Amino acid sequence: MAMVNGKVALVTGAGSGIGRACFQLLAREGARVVGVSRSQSKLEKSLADVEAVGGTGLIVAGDLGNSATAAAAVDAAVNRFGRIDILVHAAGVGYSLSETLPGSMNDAINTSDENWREVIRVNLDACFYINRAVLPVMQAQKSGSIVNVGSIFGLGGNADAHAYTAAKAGMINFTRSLAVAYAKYGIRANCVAPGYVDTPMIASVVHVFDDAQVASSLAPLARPGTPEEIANCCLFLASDMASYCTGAVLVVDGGTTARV
Amino acid sequence: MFQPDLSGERGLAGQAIFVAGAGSGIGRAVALCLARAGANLALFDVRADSLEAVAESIRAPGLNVSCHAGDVTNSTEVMAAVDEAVRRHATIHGAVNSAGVLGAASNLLDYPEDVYRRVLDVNIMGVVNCMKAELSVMVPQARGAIVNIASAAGIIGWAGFSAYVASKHAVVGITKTAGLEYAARGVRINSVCPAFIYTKMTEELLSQPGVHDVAVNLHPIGRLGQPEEVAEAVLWLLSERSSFAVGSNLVLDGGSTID
Repeated sequence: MAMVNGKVALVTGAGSGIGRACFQLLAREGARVVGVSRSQSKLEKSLADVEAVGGTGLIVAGDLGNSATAAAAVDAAVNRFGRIDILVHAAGVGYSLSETLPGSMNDAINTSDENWREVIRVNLDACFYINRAVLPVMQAQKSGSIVNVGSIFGLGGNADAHAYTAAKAGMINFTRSLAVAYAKYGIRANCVAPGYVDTPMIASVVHVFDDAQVASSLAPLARPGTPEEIANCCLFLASDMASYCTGAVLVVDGGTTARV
Repeated sequence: MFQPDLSGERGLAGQAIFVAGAGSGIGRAVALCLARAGANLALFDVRADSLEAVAESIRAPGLNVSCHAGDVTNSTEVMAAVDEAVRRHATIHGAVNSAGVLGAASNLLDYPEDVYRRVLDVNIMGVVNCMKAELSVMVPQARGAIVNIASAAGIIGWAGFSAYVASKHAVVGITKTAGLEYAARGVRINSVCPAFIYTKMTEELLSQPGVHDVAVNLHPIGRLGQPEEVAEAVLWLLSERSSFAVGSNLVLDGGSTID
Protein backbone atom coordinates (compact mmCIF):
# COMPACT_ATOMS: atom_id res chain seq x y z
CA MET A 1 0.00 0.00 0.00
CA ALA A 2 1.65 3.23 -1.15
CA MET A 3 1.29 5.83 1.57
CA VAL A 4 1.51 8.99 -0.54
CA ASN A 5 0.25 7.73 -3.87
CA GLY A 6 -0.24 10.44 -6.48
CA LYS A 7 0.99 13.24 -4.23
CA VAL A 8 3.59 15.82 -5.20
CA ALA A 9 6.39 16.18 -2.66
CA LEU A 10 9.03 18.90 -2.54
CA VAL A 11 12.10 17.70 -0.66
CA THR A 12 15.00 19.96 0.26
CA GLY A 13 18.41 18.58 1.04
CA ALA A 14 17.64 15.78 -1.43
CA GLY A 15 21.28 15.32 -2.40
CA SER A 16 22.44 13.61 0.78
CA GLY A 17 21.62 12.35 4.25
CA ILE A 18 18.08 12.56 5.59
CA GLY A 19 16.80 14.62 2.66
CA ARG A 20 18.08 12.08 0.17
CA ALA A 21 16.43 9.24 2.13
CA CYS A 22 13.15 11.20 2.18
CA PHE A 23 13.38 11.80 -1.57
CA GLN A 24 13.81 8.05 -2.19
CA LEU A 25 11.18 6.90 0.28
CA LEU A 26 8.46 9.36 -0.78
CA ALA A 27 9.02 8.32 -4.40
CA ARG A 28 8.88 4.65 -3.45
CA GLU A 29 5.59 5.31 -1.64
CA GLY A 30 4.02 6.74 -4.78
CA ALA A 31 4.80 10.46 -4.73
CA ARG A 32 6.18 12.50 -7.60
CA VAL A 33 9.20 14.15 -6.06
CA VAL A 34 10.96 17.47 -6.54
CA GLY A 35 14.45 17.53 -5.05
CA VAL A 36 16.35 20.66 -4.09
CA SER A 37 19.92 20.94 -2.91
CA ARG A 38 23.11 22.84 -3.57
CA SER A 39 24.87 20.10 -5.52
CA GLN A 40 23.61 19.37 -9.04
CA SER A 41 25.71 16.19 -9.26
CA LYS A 42 24.34 14.74 -6.00
CA LEU A 43 20.80 15.61 -7.08
CA GLU A 44 21.33 13.86 -10.39
CA LYS A 45 22.42 10.74 -8.52
CA SER A 46 19.36 10.91 -6.25
CA LEU A 47 17.04 11.32 -9.23
CA ALA A 48 18.68 8.48 -11.13
CA ASP A 49 18.05 6.20 -8.14
CA VAL A 50 14.39 7.24 -8.05
CA GLU A 51 13.94 6.72 -11.79
CA ALA A 52 15.70 3.36 -11.63
CA VAL A 53 12.82 2.01 -9.56
CA GLY A 54 10.14 3.57 -11.74
CA GLY A 55 9.69 6.83 -9.85
CA THR A 56 9.07 10.28 -11.29
CA GLY A 57 10.82 13.43 -10.22
CA LEU A 58 12.70 16.58 -11.07
CA ILE A 59 15.58 18.40 -9.47
CA VAL A 60 16.46 22.03 -8.83
CA ALA A 61 19.97 22.97 -7.76
CA GLY A 62 20.56 26.07 -5.70
CA ASP A 63 21.47 27.60 -2.36
CA LEU A 64 18.34 27.53 -0.19
CA GLY A 65 19.80 30.29 1.96
CA ASN A 66 18.81 32.59 -0.91
CA SER A 67 15.09 33.16 -1.29
CA ALA A 68 15.36 33.00 -5.09
CA THR A 69 16.14 29.27 -4.88
CA ALA A 70 12.96 28.59 -2.93
CA ALA A 71 10.88 30.51 -5.47
CA ALA A 72 12.53 28.71 -8.38
CA ALA A 73 11.95 25.30 -6.80
CA VAL A 74 8.27 25.99 -6.13
CA ASP A 75 7.79 27.35 -9.68
CA ALA A 76 9.44 24.28 -11.16
CA ALA A 77 7.27 21.94 -9.09
CA VAL A 78 4.04 23.71 -9.96
CA ASN A 79 4.93 24.06 -13.67
CA ARG A 80 5.68 20.37 -13.97
CA PHE A 81 3.16 18.76 -11.62
CA GLY A 82 0.51 21.44 -11.03
CA ARG A 83 0.55 21.29 -7.25
CA ILE A 84 2.56 20.64 -4.06
CA ASP A 85 1.00 18.34 -1.47
CA ILE A 86 4.01 17.75 0.73
CA LEU A 87 7.04 19.77 1.76
CA VAL A 88 9.84 17.99 3.57
CA HIS A 89 12.48 20.55 4.44
CA ALA A 90 15.55 18.55 5.39
CA ALA A 91 18.28 20.85 4.08
CA GLY A 92 20.62 22.10 6.74
CA VAL A 93 24.17 22.05 7.94
CA GLY A 94 25.64 20.91 11.22
CA TYR A 95 29.00 19.73 12.46
CA SER A 96 30.36 19.04 9.00
CA LEU A 97 30.18 22.77 8.27
CA SER A 98 33.13 23.36 10.57
CA GLU A 99 35.32 21.65 7.96
CA THR A 100 34.66 24.36 5.40
CA LEU A 101 33.84 27.14 7.85
CA PRO A 102 36.12 26.78 10.87
CA GLY A 103 34.54 27.96 14.12
CA SER A 104 30.95 27.71 12.87
CA MET A 105 30.04 25.08 15.49
CA ASN A 106 31.57 26.93 18.44
CA ASP A 107 30.08 28.26 21.66
CA ALA A 108 28.81 31.84 21.88
CA ILE A 109 32.06 33.52 22.95
CA ASN A 110 33.94 31.91 20.10
CA THR A 111 31.39 32.50 17.35
CA SER A 112 32.15 35.32 14.92
CA ASP A 113 29.47 37.54 13.41
CA GLU A 114 30.07 35.93 10.02
CA ASN A 115 29.81 32.36 11.31
CA TRP A 116 26.65 33.11 13.27
CA ARG A 117 25.00 34.64 10.20
CA GLU A 118 26.01 31.80 7.89
CA VAL A 119 24.70 29.05 10.19
CA ILE A 120 21.44 30.91 10.73
CA ARG A 121 21.16 31.64 7.01
CA VAL A 122 21.54 28.06 5.79
CA ASN A 123 19.39 26.57 8.55
CA LEU A 124 16.75 29.04 9.72
CA ASP A 125 16.56 31.48 6.77
CA ALA A 126 16.34 28.54 4.37
CA CYS A 127 13.49 27.05 6.39
CA PHE A 128 11.62 30.36 6.28
CA TYR A 129 12.18 30.89 2.55
CA ILE A 130 11.02 27.47 1.40
CA ASN A 131 7.99 27.40 3.70
CA ARG A 132 6.98 30.93 2.67
CA ALA A 133 7.24 29.94 -0.98
CA VAL A 134 5.24 26.71 -0.63
CA LEU A 135 2.45 27.98 1.64
CA PRO A 136 0.50 30.03 -0.97
CA VAL A 137 0.34 26.95 -3.21
CA MET A 138 -1.04 24.83 -0.38
CA GLN A 139 -3.35 27.62 0.72
CA ALA A 140 -4.87 27.79 -2.77
CA GLN A 141 -5.27 23.99 -2.80
CA LYS A 142 -6.76 24.12 0.71
CA SER A 143 -4.52 21.19 1.62
CA GLY A 144 -0.92 20.40 2.34
CA SER A 145 1.43 18.78 4.78
CA ILE A 146 4.72 20.31 5.88
CA VAL A 147 7.49 18.49 7.68
CA ASN A 148 10.46 20.54 8.81
CA VAL A 149 13.44 18.55 10.01
CA GLY A 150 14.67 20.11 13.23
CA SER A 151 16.93 18.44 15.76
CA ILE A 152 16.97 17.39 19.40
CA PHE A 153 19.49 20.25 19.68
CA GLY A 154 16.57 22.56 18.98
CA LEU A 155 14.89 21.27 22.15
CA GLY A 156 17.75 21.25 24.64
CA GLY A 157 20.92 23.20 25.19
CA ASN A 158 24.38 22.16 24.12
CA ALA A 159 27.93 23.14 25.14
CA ASP A 160 28.84 24.19 21.60
CA ALA A 161 27.21 24.75 18.19
CA HIS A 162 25.27 27.69 19.60
CA ALA A 163 24.19 29.16 16.26
CA TYR A 164 23.01 25.70 15.19
CA THR A 165 20.98 25.09 18.36
CA ALA A 166 19.42 28.54 18.01
CA ALA A 167 18.53 27.91 14.38
CA LYS A 168 16.97 24.51 15.11
CA ALA A 169 14.96 25.86 18.05
CA GLY A 170 13.80 28.67 15.79
CA MET A 171 12.66 26.18 13.15
CA ILE A 172 10.62 24.27 15.71
CA ASN A 173 8.67 27.24 17.00
CA PHE A 174 8.31 28.67 13.49
CA THR A 175 6.67 25.37 12.52
CA ARG A 176 4.29 25.54 15.49
CA SER A 177 3.22 29.01 14.40
CA LEU A 178 2.59 27.80 10.87
CA ALA A 179 0.41 25.05 12.34
CA VAL A 180 -1.68 27.56 14.25
CA ALA A 181 -1.98 30.05 11.41
CA TYR A 182 -2.72 27.75 8.49
CA ALA A 183 -4.75 24.89 9.98
CA LYS A 184 -7.85 26.62 8.66
CA TYR A 185 -6.58 26.14 5.11
CA GLY A 186 -6.17 22.40 5.62
CA ILE A 187 -2.41 22.72 6.01
CA ARG A 188 -0.66 20.64 8.66
CA ALA A 189 2.87 21.57 9.80
CA ASN A 190 5.02 19.37 12.02
CA CYS A 191 8.66 18.91 13.00
CA VAL A 192 10.79 15.84 13.25
CA ALA A 193 13.56 16.18 15.82
CA PRO A 194 16.21 13.56 15.07
CA GLY A 195 18.97 12.68 17.48
CA TYR A 196 22.32 11.33 16.25
CA VAL A 197 21.87 10.08 12.71
CA ASP A 198 24.57 8.54 10.55
CA THR A 199 24.70 11.12 7.76
CA PRO A 200 27.51 13.11 6.14
CA MET A 201 26.65 15.87 8.65
CA ILE A 202 28.22 13.90 11.52
CA ALA A 203 30.56 11.71 9.44
CA SER A 204 33.63 13.25 11.06
CA VAL A 205 32.50 12.35 14.59
CA VAL A 206 30.32 9.26 14.14
CA HIS A 207 33.23 6.97 15.10
CA VAL A 208 32.53 7.78 18.77
CA PHE A 209 29.74 5.19 18.53
CA ASP A 210 32.42 2.51 18.08
CA ASP A 211 32.97 2.58 21.85
CA ALA A 212 30.05 0.66 23.38
CA GLN A 213 30.03 2.67 26.59
CA VAL A 214 30.10 6.00 24.79
CA ALA A 215 27.45 4.74 22.39
CA SER A 216 24.97 3.86 25.12
CA SER A 217 25.64 7.17 26.86
CA LEU A 218 24.76 9.02 23.65
CA ALA A 219 21.65 6.97 22.84
CA PRO A 220 20.08 4.09 24.80
CA LEU A 221 19.76 2.15 21.54
CA ALA A 222 23.59 2.38 21.48
CA ARG A 223 23.80 3.28 17.81
CA PRO A 224 23.15 6.27 15.60
CA GLY A 225 19.92 6.27 13.60
CA THR A 226 19.89 5.74 9.87
CA PRO A 227 18.66 8.36 7.40
CA GLU A 228 15.96 5.88 6.37
CA GLU A 229 14.63 5.73 9.94
CA ILE A 230 14.20 9.50 9.97
CA ALA A 231 12.70 9.43 6.48
CA ASN A 232 10.06 7.03 7.77
CA CYS A 233 9.09 9.60 10.42
CA CYS A 234 8.84 12.30 7.76
CA LEU A 235 6.75 9.98 5.59
CA PHE A 236 4.40 9.27 8.47
CA LEU A 237 3.88 12.96 9.31
CA ALA A 238 3.57 13.89 5.64
CA SER A 239 0.96 11.21 4.97
CA ASP A 240 -2.72 11.06 5.81
CA MET A 241 -1.84 8.59 8.59
CA ALA A 242 -0.99 11.67 10.66
CA SER A 243 -4.17 13.57 9.76
CA TYR A 244 -4.70 14.85 13.34
CA CYS A 245 -1.06 15.83 13.90
CA THR A 246 -0.23 19.46 13.51
CA GLY A 247 2.27 21.56 15.44
CA ALA A 248 3.78 18.36 16.84
CA VAL A 249 7.48 17.74 17.36
CA LEU A 250 8.26 14.08 16.82
CA VAL A 251 11.47 13.18 18.63
CA VAL A 252 13.27 10.24 17.03
CA ASP A 253 16.55 9.81 18.80
CA GLY A 254 17.02 6.25 20.00
CA GLY A 255 16.17 7.48 23.49
CA THR A 256 18.81 10.23 23.81
CA THR A 257 16.43 12.84 25.23
CA ALA A 258 14.29 10.45 27.28
CA ARG A 259 17.14 10.57 29.80
CA VAL A 260 17.56 13.54 32.10
CA MET B 1 -16.64 -8.01 4.69
CA PHE B 2 -13.53 -7.39 6.75
CA GLN B 3 -10.32 -7.75 4.74
CA PRO B 4 -6.96 -7.84 6.47
CA ASP B 5 -3.78 -6.92 4.57
CA LEU B 6 -1.65 -10.03 5.02
CA SER B 7 1.02 -8.88 2.57
CA GLY B 8 3.24 -7.45 5.27
CA GLU B 9 3.41 -4.06 3.56
CA ARG B 10 2.16 -2.26 6.64
CA GLY B 11 4.72 -4.05 8.73
CA LEU B 12 2.64 -6.08 11.16
CA ALA B 13 1.47 -9.13 9.21
CA GLY B 14 1.84 -12.24 11.33
CA GLN B 15 2.80 -10.37 14.50
CA ALA B 16 0.83 -10.87 17.71
CA ILE B 17 -0.23 -7.68 19.47
CA PHE B 18 -1.77 -7.42 22.94
CA VAL B 19 -4.29 -4.56 23.15
CA ALA B 20 -5.47 -3.52 26.62
CA GLY B 21 -8.71 -1.55 26.63
CA ALA B 22 -9.70 -3.00 23.26
CA GLY B 23 -13.43 -2.99 23.99
CA SER B 24 -14.10 0.63 23.13
CA GLY B 25 -12.78 4.00 22.03
CA ILE B 26 -9.17 4.31 20.96
CA GLY B 27 -8.38 0.71 21.98
CA ARG B 28 -11.14 -0.57 19.73
CA ALA B 29 -9.99 1.59 16.80
CA VAL B 30 -6.43 0.36 17.38
CA ALA B 31 -7.62 -3.27 17.26
CA LEU B 32 -9.42 -2.66 13.95
CA CYS B 33 -6.49 -0.79 12.44
CA LEU B 34 -3.93 -3.43 13.50
CA ALA B 35 -6.15 -6.21 12.21
CA ARG B 36 -6.41 -4.45 8.84
CA ALA B 37 -2.58 -4.30 8.87
CA GLY B 38 -2.55 -8.08 9.25
CA ALA B 39 -1.67 -8.40 12.95
CA ASN B 40 -2.94 -11.24 15.11
CA LEU B 41 -4.57 -9.82 18.21
CA ALA B 42 -5.00 -10.62 21.88
CA LEU B 43 -7.76 -8.29 23.03
CA PHE B 44 -8.05 -7.40 26.70
CA ASP B 45 -10.83 -5.44 28.40
CA VAL B 46 -12.86 -5.49 31.58
CA ARG B 47 -16.06 -5.84 29.53
CA ALA B 48 -16.18 -9.30 27.96
CA ASP B 49 -19.23 -8.52 25.81
CA SER B 50 -17.59 -5.49 24.15
CA LEU B 51 -14.50 -7.57 23.47
CA GLU B 52 -16.51 -10.24 21.69
CA ALA B 53 -18.21 -7.60 19.55
CA VAL B 54 -14.86 -6.14 18.50
CA ALA B 55 -13.45 -9.62 17.83
CA GLU B 56 -16.48 -10.54 15.73
CA SER B 57 -15.97 -7.52 13.49
CA ILE B 58 -12.38 -8.45 12.64
CA ARG B 59 -12.43 -12.24 12.44
CA ALA B 60 -11.14 -13.27 9.02
CA PRO B 61 -9.32 -16.23 7.51
CA GLY B 62 -5.62 -16.09 8.30
CA LEU B 63 -6.04 -13.81 11.29
CA ASN B 64 -5.93 -15.07 14.87
CA VAL B 65 -7.95 -13.07 17.38
CA SER B 66 -8.29 -14.00 21.04
CA CYS B 67 -10.31 -12.33 23.79
CA HIS B 68 -9.21 -12.01 27.39
CA ALA B 69 -11.48 -10.47 30.00
CA GLY B 70 -9.91 -8.86 33.02
CA ASP B 71 -9.26 -5.71 35.00
CA VAL B 72 -6.06 -3.72 34.36
CA THR B 73 -5.93 -2.72 38.04
CA ASN B 74 -5.55 -6.38 39.02
CA SER B 75 -1.98 -7.48 38.25
CA THR B 76 -2.87 -11.17 38.60
CA GLU B 77 -5.62 -10.91 36.01
CA VAL B 78 -3.37 -8.96 33.65
CA MET B 79 -0.56 -11.51 33.98
CA ALA B 80 -3.00 -14.36 33.42
CA ALA B 81 -4.32 -12.68 30.29
CA VAL B 82 -0.83 -12.17 28.88
CA ASP B 83 0.07 -15.79 29.71
CA GLU B 84 -3.06 -16.95 27.94
CA ALA B 85 -2.29 -14.69 24.97
CA VAL B 86 1.17 -16.23 24.71
CA ARG B 87 -0.35 -19.72 24.76
CA ARG B 88 -2.73 -18.72 21.95
CA HIS B 89 -0.27 -16.81 19.76
CA ALA B 90 3.10 -18.41 20.77
CA THR B 91 4.35 -14.97 21.88
CA ILE B 92 3.48 -11.29 21.77
CA HIS B 93 5.54 -8.97 19.58
CA GLY B 94 3.83 -5.75 20.53
CA ALA B 95 1.39 -4.22 22.98
CA VAL B 96 -0.88 -1.20 23.21
CA ASN B 97 -2.05 0.03 26.59
CA SER B 98 -5.24 1.96 26.03
CA ALA B 99 -7.40 1.32 29.08
CA GLY B 100 -8.25 4.55 30.83
CA VAL B 101 -10.93 6.57 32.61
CA LEU B 102 -11.64 10.30 32.75
CA GLY B 103 -12.84 10.50 36.34
CA ALA B 104 -14.86 13.35 37.80
CA ALA B 105 -15.18 16.89 36.45
CA SER B 106 -14.31 18.70 39.64
CA ASN B 107 -11.86 21.21 41.00
CA LEU B 108 -9.33 19.85 43.45
CA LEU B 109 -11.04 21.07 46.64
CA ASP B 110 -14.21 19.16 45.83
CA TYR B 111 -12.68 16.18 44.05
CA PRO B 112 -13.92 12.97 45.72
CA GLU B 113 -10.96 11.01 47.09
CA ASP B 114 -12.28 7.62 46.04
CA VAL B 115 -12.71 8.77 42.43
CA TYR B 116 -9.24 10.34 42.46
CA ARG B 117 -7.68 7.07 43.64
CA ARG B 118 -9.67 5.12 41.06
CA VAL B 119 -8.40 7.31 38.20
CA LEU B 120 -4.79 6.92 39.35
CA ASP B 121 -5.31 3.19 39.80
CA VAL B 122 -6.76 2.54 36.33
CA ASN B 123 -4.64 5.02 34.38
CA ILE B 124 -1.30 4.58 36.14
CA MET B 125 -1.28 1.17 37.80
CA GLY B 126 -3.22 -0.23 34.83
CA VAL B 127 -0.37 0.77 32.52
CA VAL B 128 2.24 -0.44 35.02
CA ASN B 129 0.54 -3.82 35.42
CA CYS B 130 0.21 -4.23 31.67
CA MET B 131 3.80 -3.19 30.96
CA LYS B 132 5.20 -5.57 33.58
CA ALA B 133 3.28 -8.48 32.08
CA GLU B 134 4.18 -7.51 28.51
CA LEU B 135 7.85 -6.93 29.32
CA SER B 136 8.05 -10.32 31.02
CA VAL B 137 7.46 -11.81 27.56
CA MET B 138 9.33 -9.29 25.43
CA VAL B 139 12.57 -8.88 27.40
CA PRO B 140 13.53 -12.60 27.32
CA GLN B 141 12.93 -12.70 23.56
CA ALA B 142 14.82 -9.38 23.17
CA ARG B 143 12.11 -8.09 20.89
CA GLY B 144 9.02 -5.98 21.32
CA ALA B 145 7.32 -2.64 20.96
CA ILE B 146 4.92 -1.06 23.44
CA VAL B 147 2.74 1.99 22.84
CA ASN B 148 1.04 3.66 25.78
CA ILE B 149 -1.99 5.86 25.17
CA ALA B 150 -1.36 9.00 27.22
CA SER B 151 -3.19 12.24 26.43
CA ALA B 152 -2.68 15.91 25.64
CA ALA B 153 -3.50 16.12 29.38
CA GLY B 154 -0.14 14.38 29.83
CA ILE B 155 1.71 17.52 28.76
CA ILE B 156 -0.56 20.42 29.77
CA GLY B 157 -2.98 21.27 32.57
CA TRP B 158 -6.77 20.93 32.29
CA ALA B 159 -8.89 22.70 34.88
CA GLY B 160 -11.42 20.38 36.50
CA PHE B 161 -9.61 17.14 35.67
CA SER B 162 -6.56 17.04 37.93
CA ALA B 163 -6.65 13.29 38.55
CA TYR B 164 -6.75 12.59 34.83
CA VAL B 165 -3.99 15.13 34.15
CA ALA B 166 -1.81 13.70 36.93
CA SER B 167 -2.32 10.16 35.69
CA LYS B 168 -1.50 11.00 32.07
CA HIS B 169 1.62 12.97 33.04
CA ALA B 170 2.62 9.78 34.86
CA VAL B 171 2.09 7.69 31.75
CA VAL B 172 4.40 9.99 29.76
CA GLY B 173 7.03 9.73 32.51
CA ILE B 174 6.77 5.95 32.84
CA THR B 175 7.10 5.63 29.06
CA LYS B 176 10.30 7.68 28.97
CA THR B 177 11.81 5.81 31.91
CA ALA B 178 10.89 2.32 30.79
CA GLY B 179 11.98 3.34 27.30
CA LEU B 180 15.45 3.97 28.69
CA GLU B 181 15.48 0.84 30.80
CA TYR B 182 14.65 -1.56 27.96
CA ALA B 183 15.98 0.13 24.80
CA ALA B 184 19.21 -1.83 24.85
CA ARG B 185 17.27 -5.05 25.46
CA GLY B 186 15.31 -4.88 22.23
CA VAL B 187 12.04 -3.40 23.45
CA ARG B 188 10.98 0.03 22.21
CA ILE B 189 8.46 1.90 24.36
CA ASN B 190 6.72 5.08 23.19
CA SER B 191 3.53 7.00 23.91
CA VAL B 192 0.96 9.02 22.03
CA CYS B 193 -0.89 12.06 23.35
CA PRO B 194 -4.29 12.50 21.71
CA ALA B 195 -6.33 15.61 22.45
CA PHE B 196 -10.14 15.52 22.26
CA ILE B 197 -11.15 12.38 20.40
CA TYR B 198 -14.70 11.19 19.76
CA THR B 199 -14.91 8.15 22.03
CA LYS B 200 -17.16 6.65 24.66
CA MET B 201 -14.95 8.29 27.31
CA THR B 202 -15.51 11.84 26.03
CA GLU B 203 -19.10 11.30 24.85
CA GLU B 204 -20.81 12.43 28.04
CA LEU B 205 -18.59 15.49 28.48
CA LEU B 206 -19.03 16.56 24.86
CA SER B 207 -22.81 16.18 25.05
CA GLN B 208 -23.09 18.90 27.68
CA PRO B 209 -24.38 22.25 26.36
CA GLY B 210 -21.68 24.33 24.71
CA VAL B 211 -18.82 21.96 25.52
CA HIS B 212 -18.43 20.63 21.99
CA ASP B 213 -18.02 24.10 20.46
CA VAL B 214 -15.55 25.15 23.15
CA ALA B 215 -13.58 21.96 22.55
CA VAL B 216 -13.49 22.48 18.79
CA ASN B 217 -12.27 26.06 19.29
CA LEU B 218 -9.29 24.74 21.26
CA HIS B 219 -8.09 22.93 18.14
CA PRO B 220 -6.52 25.05 15.36
CA ILE B 221 -7.38 22.26 12.93
CA GLY B 222 -11.02 23.23 13.49
CA ARG B 223 -12.37 19.85 14.56
CA LEU B 224 -11.91 17.07 17.09
CA GLY B 225 -10.09 13.85 16.30
CA GLN B 226 -11.33 10.40 15.38
CA PRO B 227 -10.05 7.29 17.17
CA GLU B 228 -8.90 5.93 13.80
CA GLU B 229 -6.43 8.82 13.53
CA VAL B 230 -4.83 7.80 16.82
CA ALA B 231 -4.80 4.17 15.72
CA GLU B 232 -2.70 5.04 12.64
CA ALA B 233 -0.06 6.63 14.88
CA VAL B 234 -0.06 3.56 17.13
CA LEU B 235 0.38 1.28 14.13
CA TRP B 236 3.34 3.36 13.04
CA LEU B 237 4.98 3.26 16.46
CA LEU B 238 4.54 -0.53 16.65
CA SER B 239 6.04 -1.10 13.22
CA GLU B 240 9.69 -1.23 12.24
CA ARG B 241 9.16 2.05 10.43
CA SER B 242 9.68 3.76 13.80
CA SER B 243 12.76 1.71 14.69
CA PHE B 244 14.71 4.70 16.10
CA ALA B 245 11.85 6.02 18.27
CA VAL B 246 12.49 5.25 21.95
CA GLY B 247 10.72 6.97 24.84
CA SER B 248 9.15 9.34 22.32
CA ASN B 249 5.84 11.01 22.92
CA LEU B 250 3.85 11.66 19.76
CA VAL B 251 1.34 14.46 20.24
CA LEU B 252 -1.81 14.11 18.09
CA ASP B 253 -3.86 17.09 19.02
CA GLY B 254 -4.91 19.10 15.99
CA GLY B 255 -2.57 21.82 17.27
CA SER B 256 -4.40 22.32 20.56
CA THR B 257 -1.39 22.22 22.89
CA ILE B 258 0.86 24.50 20.83
CA ASP B 259 0.10 27.66 22.76
